[in-house]
Amino acid sequence: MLLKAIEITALAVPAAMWYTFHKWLDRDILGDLIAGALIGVFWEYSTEALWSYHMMVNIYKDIPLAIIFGWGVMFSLAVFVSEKLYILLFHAKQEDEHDLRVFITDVIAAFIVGLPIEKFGLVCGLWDYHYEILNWSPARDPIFRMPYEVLVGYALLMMIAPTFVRFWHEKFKNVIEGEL
Amino acid sequence: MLLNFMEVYSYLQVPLIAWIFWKFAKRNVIGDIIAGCMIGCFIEFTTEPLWNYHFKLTIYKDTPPGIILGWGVMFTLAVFLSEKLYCWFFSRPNIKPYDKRIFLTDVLAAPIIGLPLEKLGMLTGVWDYNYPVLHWSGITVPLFQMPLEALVGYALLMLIAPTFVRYWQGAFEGRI
Repeated sequence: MLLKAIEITALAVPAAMWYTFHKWLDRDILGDLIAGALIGVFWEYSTEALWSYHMMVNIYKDIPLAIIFGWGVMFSLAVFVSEKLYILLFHAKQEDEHDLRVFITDVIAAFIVGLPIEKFGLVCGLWDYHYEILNWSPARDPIFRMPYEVLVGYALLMMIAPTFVRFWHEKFKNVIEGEL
Repeated sequence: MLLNFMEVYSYLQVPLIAWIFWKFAKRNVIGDIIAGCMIGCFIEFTTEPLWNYHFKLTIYKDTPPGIILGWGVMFTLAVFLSEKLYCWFFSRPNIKPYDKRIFLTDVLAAPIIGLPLEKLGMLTGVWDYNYPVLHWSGITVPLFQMPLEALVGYALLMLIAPTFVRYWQGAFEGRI
């Protein structure tokens, strides 16, 4: 029952997020959601053998549509948090697009946004890791009690993926709005 | 012996490719290689259980530094080829910024560059797939006799990663 409720909620979250950002932050994150979901498709397809999902609506093997939507939401939030951290930490008016320091705030944002979501999914039973295949060390981080490999994986992912979101979000938004 | 040669070459390929591009294409690809290696670190760390490598020198479990450098070279070549295909197909002197048609040539460049390298690595015994873990379908791509999933994986990767290479190449070379 809990899983069904979370799955239905997860499918509705992108629309709710879009509305929230649009209404209160005057920011259209449609392009971010699409770009993030595309990264999600690549990520889930490539690592399908390493984790199991337990939802109803799947698009490839046991990969649920809600998880792809979730990556869209995660990247939209992470890019937003990273932008705010950049302004705060480097006393800038806005993010300098080619400043290498953005990697620092991207990685911090990964931990702030990604790890709580990751922990939530594990605790609720939305997914679990194939520990027997992953062969991870038993070391856990002190805050979330997650394997260190998850932290490193998120950090590496967040060094690469937000560039894609930042670069393409305007264009992807325009596609949905009818401009090719 | 062949494996030893491949391991030595995996380190030499970076200066070799950088020199070839500099000499014959008047193009500095150091930034492309650095960006490609960063993507390589991400891919190899996160998918480590899915393949086995057989080089002597490794940095994390059985992942060799030469493979990370190989990703740098692969992305340099793929981005270069994609750019040429784009200019050729769409009759343009250079890439129009934010033109989504670049996804087409990126995905096309992926099998042209990636699959022969992937096949070469397998034939020379540099790596092999953990088929019992991957549970792939058994369908193979006709020309290369490679698993279909490898082709799809390359295509998806090439939708995402070249943007990173193009975006940061200048900053990594200190030009921006």
